[in-house]
Amino acid sequence: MRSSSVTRTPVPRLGVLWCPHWPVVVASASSAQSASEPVVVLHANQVVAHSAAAGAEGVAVGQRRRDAQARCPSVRVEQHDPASDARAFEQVVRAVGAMVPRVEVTEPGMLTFMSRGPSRYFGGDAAMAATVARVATEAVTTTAGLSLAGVGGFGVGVADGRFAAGIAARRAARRAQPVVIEPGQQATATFLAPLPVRLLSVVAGVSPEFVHLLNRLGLHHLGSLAALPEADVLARFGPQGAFAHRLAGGGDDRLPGTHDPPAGMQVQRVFEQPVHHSDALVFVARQLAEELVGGLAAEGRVCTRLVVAADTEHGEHSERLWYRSSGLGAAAMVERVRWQLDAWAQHGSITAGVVLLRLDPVELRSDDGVQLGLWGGRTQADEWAVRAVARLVAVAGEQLVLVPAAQGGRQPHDAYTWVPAVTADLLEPAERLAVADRPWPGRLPSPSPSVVHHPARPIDVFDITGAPVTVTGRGAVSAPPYAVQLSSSSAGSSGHGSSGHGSSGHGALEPVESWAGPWPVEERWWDTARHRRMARFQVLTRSGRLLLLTLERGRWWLTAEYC
Amino acid sequence: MVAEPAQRFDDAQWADVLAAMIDGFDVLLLGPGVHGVRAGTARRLSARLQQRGAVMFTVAGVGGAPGPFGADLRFVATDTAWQGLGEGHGVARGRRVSVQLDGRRVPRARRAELWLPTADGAVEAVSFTVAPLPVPLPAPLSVPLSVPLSATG
Repeated sequence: MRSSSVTRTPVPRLGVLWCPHWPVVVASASSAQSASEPVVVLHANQVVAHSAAAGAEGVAVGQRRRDAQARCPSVRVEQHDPASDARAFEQVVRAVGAMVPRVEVTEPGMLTFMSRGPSRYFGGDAAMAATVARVATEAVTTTAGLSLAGVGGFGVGVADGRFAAGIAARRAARRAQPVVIEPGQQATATFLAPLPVRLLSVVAGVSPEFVHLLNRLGLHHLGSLAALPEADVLARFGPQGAFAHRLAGGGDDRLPGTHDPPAGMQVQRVFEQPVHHSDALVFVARQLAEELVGGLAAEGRVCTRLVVAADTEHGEHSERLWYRSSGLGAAAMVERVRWQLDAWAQHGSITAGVVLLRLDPVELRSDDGVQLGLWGGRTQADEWAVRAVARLVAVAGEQLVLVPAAQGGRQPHDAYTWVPAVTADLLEPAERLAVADRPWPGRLPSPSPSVVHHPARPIDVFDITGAPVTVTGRGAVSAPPYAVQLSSSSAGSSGHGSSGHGSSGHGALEPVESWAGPWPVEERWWDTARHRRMARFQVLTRSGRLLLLTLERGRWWLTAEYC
Repeated sequence: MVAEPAQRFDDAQWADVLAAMIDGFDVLLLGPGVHGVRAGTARRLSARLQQRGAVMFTVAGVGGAPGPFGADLRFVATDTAWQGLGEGHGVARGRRVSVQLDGRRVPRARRAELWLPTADGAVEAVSFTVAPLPVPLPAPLSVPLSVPLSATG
C-alpha cells in the first residue's frame, strides 16, 4: 500500500474550517430567538442542518420534516437559502483570508486552505488552528452580528489531505477545540483506522451504496478496509473501491485523473463601460462559464476548483477560490459568481463599477460524468430550456420566474411550493421534485385538484332546510349538504355566515349532486398557536363542478376545484 | 416550469417573455392573462412559434373567445361527469369527458371520450371517433388540461 504512493505527488497538508450547521446560524439571524431554541433548516422536505438543541432531541441531517417534528415538536422550521448562507459566510472568508493565502470556499460554512505556510508563521499547526478558529468566530459574532451559540461554533482540523482534514474538522467542531493530525501517511492512517466507513460517503462523496456494501461485507471501519491488499480491492470493487482504499489508508485523496491545468485556460471579459448591476455581471458570467465548460467538455474534462476574480474601476479586487468535488458545471459556476458578487456588494467595500470578470480553472479532472442522453436523461433541449430561463429572468426579473419544488403537506397548496428559478438546479430537477416515497398521512386522495385557491375563498353550505351544515366534534355531519353558495366578496371578508341563503352580495346558489366527507385533519395539535382542526369535503354540484371544501372553526372555505 | 407575473405585464413585456419561452420550450401553457396581448404582437409570436415548432395552449376567454392567438386547434370539453362520489361516501376517482377537437387544421371534427383525469391523475382514452358530426356546440368550456403539477399520483 505504501509503495503505491511513492510515484504520486505528496499529499498536501490542509486546514479545514467547518461550521457544522451553518444554515442554522444564518436562519437564526432573522429572528431574535434564544440560542437554546431548536431549529431545523429544510431543503426539499429534508433536514439539511439543525441546531444543537434540536440535535439533542434526536433530530438528524437527512430526516424528513415529519420525523424531525415527531422527535422535537417545538422545533422551528426554516427554509434553506444557499444564497444568503453564502453572503453571510463572506465575512468569515474575508477574516480568514487575511491570515492565510488562497482560501478555498468548499461550501457556505466550510473553508479549506493550505496550512504549511500559515503554520510556520503562527508557530505550529495547533497555534495556527486556534488562531483561525478565534478569528472566524470573531468575524461571525462581532462583524456579521450572528450568534454561533446554537450550533456549537467552528471546528478547525489540520491533516494530510482533504479527507482526513475534513474529518478532523468535524471532530474539532464537536469538541470545540482544534484537532491536529500529525503529518505523514502512517499517522493519518492510524487516525482514520477506528472510524466508521460511513464517513467515506459523508465526507468524501463515495456513493452510499458502496459504503452499504462494505458494511454488509463486515468492513465496518476504515482500518479494516485499509488493511486489505490494494490489488484485491481494485479487482473486487473497481476504481471506486481503489479510491476508497487509498482514502482509508491516508493516501492521496484527489480523485483519479485530477491534474493542474496549464496556464492560460482562464476566460475573462474586460468591460469598456464599468458595470454597476450584478444582474448584468451574472449574465456575462453565464456566457463565460458556458464558454469555459464547453471548452473543457470538448476535451472530456471538468473543472473542480475555480478562481473567480473581479476588479473595479477603482482597483478594488475580489478573488475567491471555489471547490466542488463533483465538478463545476456552468450553472454551478454562475451560482458561485452570484454569491461572491452579492457578498462583495453587500459588505460595502465596492465603490465603483466592475471592469473585469475572470474565471480561472485551477484544478481539472477527467469527466466521467454526464453524457447527453439520446432518450431520457439530460438532453440538448434541457440546455435550451435552462438558457431560456436565464433570458426570462433577465426580462421579467428573478422573483417572477419560478419553478415548482416538492414540499409535502396535507392541504392542496402545501404539496408544492414555487421557488425562484435562479436558486434552483434546473438540470437536475429530480431532487427538487422528489415526492416522499411513502404516502403523506392525511393527504388528499389522487387525482389532485387542478385549481387551488390560496387563500381559500369563503363559501356557504346549506342543508335542505336552508340551515348551515355543521360537523360535530366527533366528525358527524348535521345534515347532508343540499346547496353551496360562493360569496362573491373577496377572500377573508367577515361579517356574513349563517344568515341563510339568498342574501345580496353572494354568488349563485348551486344545488349539490353528490358529496363525500368529512375527512378530518388535525395539524400541530401540540402547538396551541398553530393548531388547526378541520374537516374536508368533496362536493359535486349539479352543474358538474367538483369542489374541495374545508370546514374550519364553523366557517366553510373553498380550498380547491377539480376542473 | 412556469413564469408567473404578479403584476400585469404590458404588451412589450409580454412579447419579450413569450419570445423567450418560445425559444426555450416546446410546450407552453398560458393562463387567461395573455388575452391582453395586442393582435400584431400575437401575429409575430405565432410566426415564431411555427418556425420553432413549439406548441402553445391558451385558455378560451369569456364565451369561448379564442384570444389574440387564433388557435389552429380547439378543444371543447362537454358532458363532464365525475365518477366515484356518492351521497356522503366515496371519493372522486376520475372524470369522463367528451372532448371535441376542431379548428382550421381539422377538416372534420373529431371526438374522443377521455378519462381526464384518471384515478392516478393521468389522461386516458376511453373511445375515439372521427365522425362527420353535426356540430351543435354548447358553450365552449375552457380547455381543461391538467398541468403536470396536479398529476402527482
